[in-house]
Amino acid sequence: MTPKLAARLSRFLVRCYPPRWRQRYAQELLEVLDQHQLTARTVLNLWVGAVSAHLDPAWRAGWHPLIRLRRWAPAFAAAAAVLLLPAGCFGYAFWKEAYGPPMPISDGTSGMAFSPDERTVAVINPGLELWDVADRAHPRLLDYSHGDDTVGGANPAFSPDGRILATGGGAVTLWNVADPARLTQIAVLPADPVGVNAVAFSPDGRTLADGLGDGTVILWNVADPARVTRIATLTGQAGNLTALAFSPDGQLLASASPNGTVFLWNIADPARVTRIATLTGQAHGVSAVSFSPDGRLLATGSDGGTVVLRNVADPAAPVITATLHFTVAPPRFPGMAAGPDVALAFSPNGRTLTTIADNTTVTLWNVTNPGTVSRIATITGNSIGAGEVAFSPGGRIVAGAPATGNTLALWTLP
Amino acid sequence: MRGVHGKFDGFGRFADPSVLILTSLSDGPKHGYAIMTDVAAFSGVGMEPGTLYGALSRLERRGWVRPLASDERRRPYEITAAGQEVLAAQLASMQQIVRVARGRTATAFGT
Repeated sequence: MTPKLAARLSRFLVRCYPPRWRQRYAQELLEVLDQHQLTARTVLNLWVGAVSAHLDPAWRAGWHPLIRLRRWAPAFAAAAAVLLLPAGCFGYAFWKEAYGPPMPISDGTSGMAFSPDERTVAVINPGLELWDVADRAHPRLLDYSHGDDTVGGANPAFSPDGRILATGGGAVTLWNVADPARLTQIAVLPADPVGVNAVAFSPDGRTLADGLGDGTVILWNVADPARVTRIATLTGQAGNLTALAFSPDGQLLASASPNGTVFLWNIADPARVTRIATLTGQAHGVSAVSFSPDGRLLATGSDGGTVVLRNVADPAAPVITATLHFTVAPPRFPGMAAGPDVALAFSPNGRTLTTIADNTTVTLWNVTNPGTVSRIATITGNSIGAGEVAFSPGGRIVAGAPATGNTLALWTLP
Repeated sequence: MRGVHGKFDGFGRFADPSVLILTSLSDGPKHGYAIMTDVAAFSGVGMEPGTLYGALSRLERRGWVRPLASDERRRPYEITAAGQEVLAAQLASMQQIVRVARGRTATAFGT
């Protein structure tokens, strides 16, 4: 046997001793082997030594309590995991309940709005939720107001630059939504006992209109959102105002009431606001109102399933150009109020009007010639139940939230 | 040396590694390789590392030798008081054997 082979075999045999024996003596033994002249006899001797050490109960694995512990460590770990996992879950749930932010409580959606960049959807349900809808296939809840019971009302409104969100409810609240993932309150405007239902920003973003529960409209100067001042109080209309719309040039304000009336206000001079027209004729309450991008048409949608188009080129003398009928799902239970949510949106070029009722039927209307409006397409299905809907500013995306549950559905229109 | 005395390796008590190690440690602490060379020098028994450490581990467990602190890889061992007693008893027994053996071989072979 060559010394090289003997050395290799000897080192191998040292590793064959019991682990505890090796912990204690291997270093010294290897040191001695380094100095010793290694022969076949050395190798045989080590083999015998290793075998007798294994036969010696003192060196048997598991003799030492710590070794025994280590041997059973996986079993202990598994048992600990089984015992501690439920405890940990309960603990986490308790911690979250006690110290974490409360989860949004869905008591029914009452309003929605798309941000101007179409990346965010604000939902009132009745707290405020902000959803990231940049990925249309996977809407994602970004942030929500924490236990704020003043938030409520109908559709909230984004400022034209998308940095501020106004919500109704017990009072108008202005939110900083520059970073939609970190919702912060800027101001709560003086509360009104009748509550605020509808809110709208003027196209220049300097004026905020809010519609109260008694039909009053208030104009606020929100040029500096931290120091909001009241500009004007418009009275005369009745009902819990459902929708407000500024004309694209900012000269007109339309206010819609559940009693079926729509008032047109001349707000060119906010200090001397005058009512210039009262629009009636829709049997049911009006819950959606929108100006066409060129400001010549006003569309008003009623809960009864009609949309009336008016030429408001001369706002003092609006002329009905068309009445559009769309299907409205009957009330689910006898006696339940037929209250489908109606939403309207003009396409940015003003040629198409899209209407949606009750989350079920989307209708596209060709309004290029307001005198002869034709139905382009009707899309049905994909109902998520009665709730709220909102159009993206471009009119191509519809967001719907069911009356209950924290979900958001998105449809992209052709 | 080993060539001559190698045949005594398995020869009962005289080749008992425990006695040889205890004897070697009687004049002071030694580490493993020093014990081997010392044993080979005074007895002619070529002890292999496996035998040495098998015996050392048993002696240590019985409390007859104890390892000394060492920051090197080679660790010195010293004989304990108990080890000295055991060695003395063992030597007395061996002496008795030697005495009887000498007497008998003198009678039989005339040496």
